Amino acid sequence: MVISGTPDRGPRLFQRLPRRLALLALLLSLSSLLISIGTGSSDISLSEVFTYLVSDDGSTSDRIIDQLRLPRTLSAFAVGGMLALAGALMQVLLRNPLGDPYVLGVSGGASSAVLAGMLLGIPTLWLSPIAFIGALLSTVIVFTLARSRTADSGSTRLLLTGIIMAAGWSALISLTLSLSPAMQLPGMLFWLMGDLSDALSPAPLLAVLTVGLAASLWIAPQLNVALYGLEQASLLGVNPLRLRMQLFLLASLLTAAAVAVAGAIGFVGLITPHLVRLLGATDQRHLLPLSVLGGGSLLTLADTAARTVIAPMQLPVGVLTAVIGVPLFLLLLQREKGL
Amino acid sequence: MSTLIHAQELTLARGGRCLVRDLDLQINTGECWAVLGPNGSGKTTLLKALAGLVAVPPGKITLCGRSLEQIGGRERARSIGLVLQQGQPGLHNSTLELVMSGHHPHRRHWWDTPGEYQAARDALREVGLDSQAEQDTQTLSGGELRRAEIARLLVQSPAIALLDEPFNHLDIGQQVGMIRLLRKHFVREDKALLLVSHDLNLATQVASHCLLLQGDGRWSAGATAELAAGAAFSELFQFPLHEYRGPNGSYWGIDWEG
Repeated sequence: MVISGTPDRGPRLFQRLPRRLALLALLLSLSSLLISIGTGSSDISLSEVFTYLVSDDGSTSDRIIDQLRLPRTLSAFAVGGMLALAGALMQVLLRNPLGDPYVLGVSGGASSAVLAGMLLGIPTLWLSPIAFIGALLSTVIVFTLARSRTADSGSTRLLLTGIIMAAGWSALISLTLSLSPAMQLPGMLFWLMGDLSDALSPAPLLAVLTVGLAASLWIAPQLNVALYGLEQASLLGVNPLRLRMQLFLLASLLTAAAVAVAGAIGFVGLITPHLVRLLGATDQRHLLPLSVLGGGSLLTLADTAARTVIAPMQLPVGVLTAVIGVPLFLLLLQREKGL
Repeated sequence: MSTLIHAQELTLARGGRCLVRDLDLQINTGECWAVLGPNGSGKTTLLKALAGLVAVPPGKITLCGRSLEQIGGRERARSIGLVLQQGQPGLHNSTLELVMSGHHPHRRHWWDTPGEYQAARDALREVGLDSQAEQDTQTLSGGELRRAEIARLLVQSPAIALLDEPFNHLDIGQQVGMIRLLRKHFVREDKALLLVSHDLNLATQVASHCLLLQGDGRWSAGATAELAAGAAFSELFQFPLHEYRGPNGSYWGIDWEG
C-alpha cells in the first residue's frame, strides 16, 4: 500500500523506522498499563498506584490494585498480545494482509465446547480448560483435513476448510443457545462476545505469550521468505510443509489460550498487525514483537473503557473492540490495493 | 567443464498425460540452455522437477553427482535457483526486502549484515530498480516484479539458474539487458543457465544448447547449431516457419503470405 503522497519511503527513514516504532510501542504499552491500573470505580491516584505496586499495606485500595486491577490489566495485555501475534502469523500463513486468528475456526471450537459445558452444568473453573481443548480439537480437524503434500496448493484448501469448520461451529453454537434455559443465556452471550472480568491469573498467559513470541521470532527469518509464497520459500531452502505446520500450530495455540480465558474478542488480531505494517514495519522480525506490544496496548485500553464507561456495570470488551474495529477495518479495506 | 545437473531416464507426467519420456539431460558448467516447446509440453514441470519442487523417483536427477532428494533444502537452494513464471509480491514488503530474501540459504545468523544490504542494492542497480528499492512490491508492474526477482536470483547466486519465461513481461530493451546480465552472471566456468522461452530467435541467438519438448513424451537435446533448423521448429510447433538469414545466423519467422 502506498501511503498517500509518499510513494517512496526514503532508504534512511526505512532503516530508522523500526527503532522509532519500537520506542513508540514501548511508550504506548507502558502508558496503557498505567492508565488501566489507575482507572476504575474507586479513585486511586497515580502516585498511590506506584506505592501499592511496590509495597503492601493491606488497605482496600492496595487489595484492589494487587488482586483486581493489576491481574486483569496484565491479562488484558497478554490476551491482546497473543491475539495480535496469532493474527500476524495467520496473515503470513494465508499470505493475506487481512487474515485473522479466528478465520480458521479456532474460536468456534472453543466457544462450542464452553457452551456445551455450561449447558451440562460443568463448574466455571473447568470452562477455560474445556475451551482450550475445543480450540485444539478444531485445529487438529482443520489441519488433518487440509493437509497437502505440495507447497503450492495448500493455502486455499486450508482457508476453505477453516471457513467451513467455523460455519459448522457457529451452527452448533446456535443450536446450544436455542436448547439452553433462559437463565443461562446471559452468561453464555457474555462469553461469546469476549470478556475479561474473570481473567485474574495473568501468569500462565504471560508465559504462553513469551514462549509464543520467542518461537515466532525463531522462525521469523523463514517467515520473511514465506511472504512470497511457500513455493518460493521452498526454492530458498525453507521446508514449506514444516513451516506451514509450525505457523498453524503456533497461531492456533496462541488463539486457543486467549479464547480459553477471555472468549472470542474480535478485531485485535486482525487490525493490529495491519496497522503496524501500515506504519512501515513489514519485516517479520520487527512486525511480530511490535504487534504484541500494539495488540496488548489496544486490548488493555479497550478493557479499561469496557469496565468504566457504564460503571458500575461492565461491558463485554469484545463488543467494544468490534465497535472500534469494524469501521477501522472497513477504512483499511478501502485503502487496500489488489483485493 | 563439469556436470552440474544430470537427469537420467526422467519421465514426467501431469494430469495423467505423459509429457516427457526417459529424458536424458546433462547440463555442464559454462553452458546456456534454452527449453522450447508448445504450450503444455512440460517445460515448467521440468524446471520444477530440476529445482526439487516436483517430486521425482530417487536417483533420476543428480546434482554434482549426488541424488537431488538427498540434498537438504538450504544446500539445494545454494546450488539451484529458479525464477517462477508467476512470482508473488510480499505483504506490502519493499523491493529491497524481496531481494534480501535471496540471502536466506546462505545465512547462519538471525540479523541482516551491511554486506548483505550492499549485495542486494548492487543487484537492484544491475536490474535498474535502485530507485524503487523502498517501493511496496504490490505496486510494482509485472515487468518490475520480474526484474526484482532476477535481482533476488543474483543475490542467491546459485550454480545453476533456471528461469521460466523470464522475459514475457519485459519490453525489448529490458529483454536484451536481462539476457546480458544473466549471461554475465551465470554463463561462466563454474555456473550454468537454463531458460524457458517462447521466443525462438532470442533462444537460438543466446543459447549454446537447446532442449525441445514435443509434449507427447518425445524430446531432443543438443547443441543449438545442430538442433536449430527450420524443419525441427516447424515440427515442434506444428506450423511452417520460414528461415531468414541474418548477419550472425538464422532467424525464424512466419510467412504471412504463404
